[in-house]
Amino acid sequence: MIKMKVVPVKVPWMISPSHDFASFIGHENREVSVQVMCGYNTKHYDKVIANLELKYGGDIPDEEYNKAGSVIIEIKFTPICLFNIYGKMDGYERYDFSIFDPYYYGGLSIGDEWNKTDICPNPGFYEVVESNLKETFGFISPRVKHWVLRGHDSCIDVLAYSFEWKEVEW
Amino acid sequence: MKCKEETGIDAYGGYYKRKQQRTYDYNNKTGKWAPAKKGTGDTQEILFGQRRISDTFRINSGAPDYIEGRKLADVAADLESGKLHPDQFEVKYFIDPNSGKKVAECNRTLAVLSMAGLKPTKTKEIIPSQEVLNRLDPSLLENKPIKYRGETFNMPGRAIPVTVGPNNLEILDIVRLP
Repeated sequence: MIKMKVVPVKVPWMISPSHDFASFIGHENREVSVQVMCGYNTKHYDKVIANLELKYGGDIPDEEYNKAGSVIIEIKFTPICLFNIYGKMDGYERYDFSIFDPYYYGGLSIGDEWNKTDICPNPGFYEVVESNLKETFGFISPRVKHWVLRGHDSCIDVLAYSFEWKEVEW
Repeated sequence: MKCKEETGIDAYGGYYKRKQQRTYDYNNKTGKWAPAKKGTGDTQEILFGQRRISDTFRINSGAPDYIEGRKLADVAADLESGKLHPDQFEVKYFIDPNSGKKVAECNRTLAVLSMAGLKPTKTKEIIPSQEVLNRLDPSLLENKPIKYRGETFNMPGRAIPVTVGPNNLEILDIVRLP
């Protein structure tokens, strides 16, 4: 099987490597919203901790400390052409993540670059530039894009025109 | 920035070079290295390598029926009662490039054995994927240890919090290696 190459979507957060998707909801106007726990970079975290220390005088409650720097991000895709969520299977991978090898085997640091640029180098949210999934379902228009989201246990494939994201309460 | 690959040392302290050397020594029977004995022959314990785990095994993963989608507590009860055997739970692990320790790839499998008071009897070393390495990268905020009642759960470590779900960090339980 030829694996499809991915490129990272330019967002300031990273999908948590130890959490799966919190929810996904379809709407009548052909939108799907996905909610997932994410984290920002350590620069952001330091500011959050500093605010908490001001508030609690240094004795931050465990619950506040553990949540610090984490957020629930909602990503809304519209209009949906395809939405597919599936469990990760050992030994099966249809995407090529070798673009990120320098961060794991080549000496680059995700954390350092993220703090420098405020864009996460490997967010867990990707675009597939040359997608054979589009072809499989008969979508040939360049307006249709293929995005991939990776949670701890599941993956999501989306074919849609666009997305937007926001933080939500948790 | 000069890539460390140019100097012949990978980003993880030479992990892949050492693995290459071990593979060469093993295949060519140089006598310099032999694989660790599986199961009880290997004395270094395998640690937990994730910030938290859910209380349920993954569904739709291709795992056996006795695991897939089940609560960890239920599977642990089956292990304790003898309905399931630890040999049915292979614990895959990798060597953490930062600490040199053995770290579980599937933390729920290690957790369920620990909940039953058992150590792994079947183990297998793997090369960690990018996603697995992400869980231990100390520069990532996501890997900030959880604190609970005066205890800090560092990674890799001998204990791991079990939390409610994907959008809730409320702690249900702490699982510790026996």
